[in-house]
Amino acid sequence: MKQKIPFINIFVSLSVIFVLWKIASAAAASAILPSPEDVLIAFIAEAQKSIFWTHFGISAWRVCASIFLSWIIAFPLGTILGYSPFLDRIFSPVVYMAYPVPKMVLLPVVVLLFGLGDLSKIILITLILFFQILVAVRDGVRSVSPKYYDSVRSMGGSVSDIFRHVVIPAALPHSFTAVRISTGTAISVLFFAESFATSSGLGYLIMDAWARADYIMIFVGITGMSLMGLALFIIFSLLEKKLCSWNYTMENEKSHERGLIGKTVTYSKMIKLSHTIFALPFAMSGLVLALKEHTVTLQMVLWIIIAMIGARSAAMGFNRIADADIDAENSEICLLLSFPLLLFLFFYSYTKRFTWLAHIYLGFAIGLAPVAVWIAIAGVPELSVIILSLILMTHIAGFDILYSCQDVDFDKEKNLFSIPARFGVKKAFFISALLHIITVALIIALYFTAGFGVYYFIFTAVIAVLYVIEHKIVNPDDISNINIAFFHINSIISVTVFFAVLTGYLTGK
Amino acid sequence: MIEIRSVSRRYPGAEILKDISFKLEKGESLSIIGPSGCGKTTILYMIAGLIPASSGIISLNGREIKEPHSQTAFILQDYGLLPWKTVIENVSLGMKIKKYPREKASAVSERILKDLGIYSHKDKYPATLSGGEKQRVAIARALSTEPEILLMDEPFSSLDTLTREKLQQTIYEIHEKRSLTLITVTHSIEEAVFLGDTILVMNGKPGRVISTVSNSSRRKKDFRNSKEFYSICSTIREMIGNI
Repeated sequence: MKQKIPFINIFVSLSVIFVLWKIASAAAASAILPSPEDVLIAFIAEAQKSIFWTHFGISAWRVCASIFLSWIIAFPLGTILGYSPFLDRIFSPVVYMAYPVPKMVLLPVVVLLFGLGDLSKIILITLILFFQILVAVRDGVRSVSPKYYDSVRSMGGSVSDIFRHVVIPAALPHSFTAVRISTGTAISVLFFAESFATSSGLGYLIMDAWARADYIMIFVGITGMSLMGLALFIIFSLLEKKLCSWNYTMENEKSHERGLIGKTVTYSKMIKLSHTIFALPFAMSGLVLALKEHTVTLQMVLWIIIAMIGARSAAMGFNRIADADIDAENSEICLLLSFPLLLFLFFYSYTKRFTWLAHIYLGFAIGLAPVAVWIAIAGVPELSVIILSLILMTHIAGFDILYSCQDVDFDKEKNLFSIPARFGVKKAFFISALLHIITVALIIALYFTAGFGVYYFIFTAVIAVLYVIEHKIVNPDDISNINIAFFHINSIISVTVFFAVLTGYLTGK
Repeated sequence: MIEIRSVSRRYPGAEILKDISFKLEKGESLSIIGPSGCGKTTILYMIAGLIPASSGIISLNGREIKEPHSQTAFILQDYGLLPWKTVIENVSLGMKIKKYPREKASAVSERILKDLGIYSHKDKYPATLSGGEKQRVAIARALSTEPEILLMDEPFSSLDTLTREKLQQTIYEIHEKRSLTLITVTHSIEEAVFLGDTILVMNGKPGRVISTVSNSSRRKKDFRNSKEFYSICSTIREMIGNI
């Protein structure tokens, strides 16, 4: 039974992706976004040709070789640095200097040094993975309790016994976690490396299809890369379970409660950052608005997604700045887009110290996303996109007030400012509802300024209903319903806004 | 057999132990009792050869202890079982390090696990065991290499009363049977009295021995329920109370 759950999860996720994709492609009604069944059929057809598997095999070889190479170098080195404070003191500064350097920009240098073949790609990916594994392993070994060393030493164990029986088994799970997490990074870098001066691999397949405007083939390539990522992820998870089985023996007995507690803790910590995810559909909506008078390329779409994700990871990175965890793989446009946003977000935590308007400020900071997109593409913002930003701002400020109702005691105790702390939970609910009424009014106003088609109102109605549900499921006497379901409604609203704008645009004048 | 002669232990800026001396003959049992932070554990670490004395001499059979000795087994506080090894792998670890032949190691491990009543857990990881079971595994691991000296650091402090008394009895019997030389660090007065032919009462920062109590009636039958047991316990309780 237990074994099957991940596969059910995968199946459910795949169906959700399939359905959303279908809706999006139906709404877009454009060759650029083919429907998932067309892609699936094309994929199955391609999968019967050897040329596809040649590309797939070449990409897989590059990624696997890089992962293996980086692990085989980083793992022993990480254990040594973790075990010996002396060596760590010597090499740490080097690691800290090299870790945050965006290794991706080294592509031209690597190509010049190692040629256009597999070697340069493998070296580039290895460079990036190496540091992630090294740091994870070193920190893992550092956290080993000294009593294990004492225990082995008291039996007459030598340094090699300590490594064999303590350091290596303690470091293994950390290295697996690092490898598992960096699979995604590895494939992204692979795509980047394969999109440049090469004639093999899935990345080449995608870029080649792009040049030929063969949109279905682009998605066949994307599907291939995704499947490769998924397969690697599953392989590493299974390997970890096999080789580090002691970490999983507790699962049956205790992980249930531990998992729940863990979830709530990280959940409440992450929530502010999670708000930024709501900005992505809005940024995309801004892009759609820009379509009217400006050309938007697929590249722009890609960069905006990267920028939004980059901003998110960087914001999360700020939280762990001591760990120097920001891997700045973002290109220039990314930074241009995300950096001002980040400054605003960064400032948010301080606003809570002096004004109860902090919620509005947070909404404002994240709400800048559509305007930022517009400025990046088209220059001076138009009324429509400003309205779009205001929609996002009131949307976020509204539910941030509801969230902060949970922290009202903490805020009062620490003299932090928030609307619930200042006016009470009941009034906070009222203000939040008011803000969301303004959101809906602004969504209606957008219809007129953007010249949308009348189908836009179908989605507007859905959004209004969702807001009503959201405010119905929570009430001031029992705020325990401000939970994950509530979070989901908010993300559905964000996505619905995107579809509203897309439909409005496609059916408009 | 073991001799500690005016031993001190200092860290930069802190003195842990000052001028400790005692002697222990083969087969004897010594309990060390005292408040937290008086350096009891440090004495065990020095006898185990894990840390050196700052001054003074610790010797075993007339030879100075400078590194872990093959005749010594050490049960650390919280057992020190490796979480990534199963029960039987933990028990065989000492023999593996000492390069016993594999067949001998597994035969010895299985026998000891059976003796201690935890054979059925041999393929489990420590994290799934109860405190008492973990302690049995730790004892099994310590005894596997047939040491002459057994050092125990607060071995039963995290166990419930019933389990604790059972395991004290187990150690008592093992000590008798194998004529081990035993040193137990504890802060339970009953445990110190039940297991120690001699009881060192320590105090202070830096730690010093304030009294050496001889417990000659310890090996009498049903000692735990005897008048002598209670009278020694209250003597020591008074000493510690006066500190």
